[in-house]
Amino acid sequence: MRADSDVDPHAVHPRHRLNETIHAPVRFSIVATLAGADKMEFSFVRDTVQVSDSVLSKQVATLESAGIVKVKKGYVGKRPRTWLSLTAFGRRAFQLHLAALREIAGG
Amino acid sequence: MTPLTPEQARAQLATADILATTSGKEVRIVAISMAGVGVLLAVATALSGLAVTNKAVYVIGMFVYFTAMLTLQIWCARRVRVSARGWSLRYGASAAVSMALCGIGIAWTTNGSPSWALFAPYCVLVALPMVVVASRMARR
Repeated sequence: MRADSDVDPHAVHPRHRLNETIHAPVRFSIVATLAGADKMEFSFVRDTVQVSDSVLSKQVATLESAGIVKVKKGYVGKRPRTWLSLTAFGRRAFQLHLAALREIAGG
Repeated sequence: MTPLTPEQARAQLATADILATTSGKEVRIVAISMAGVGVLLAVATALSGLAVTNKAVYVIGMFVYFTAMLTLQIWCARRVRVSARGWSLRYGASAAVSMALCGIGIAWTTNGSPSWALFAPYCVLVALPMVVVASRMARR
């Protein structure tokens, strides 16, 4: 059992360091998936996270406006392709989010 | 924001670990195409050794080479949905080394047919940088 004297009343609880944009379950899955690669095609992220095109588009737009995800559109032949990647800020924000989760998980 | 219990946090961390490794199959496709490019460069180098002595085989071989390279690039561009993290530089560097070795090999054959005892192992050497990096990428 932890003695009262061990608790720093001024310490910030790790939950306050969780990123609110990343914290939402679908957005967390999107960012966690993108963290494993330099860039990923929209359909791969959709299949991995198991959401519809419209849900993924909406969540990606939220992440993009927060500066966490970068969206790049292009073509392979005549087929349109959308590539998603984490920005440097997004990658750092996710690392901090994971660090906060580890602290919470550690009790 | 909904407060998280330690169990929920652990579950989220486990989810993050799983999701970060889902691209393994896609990365293997990149590795296969990369090794394929290396082998094709070795074939092009070997064919240049036949340019003087056997023109017909050289011309047909180069046609097959360009068709195979084009097919591989199109297949790769259509099929690949993931760019492996941290491998772009290694891919580029190994491709540059293989292409430089291929160029040196072709230059070697311009003064006549080379000794195949030396030239055949050299052709294998041309493929090695891309094949080695591809195999490491596939096993990452």
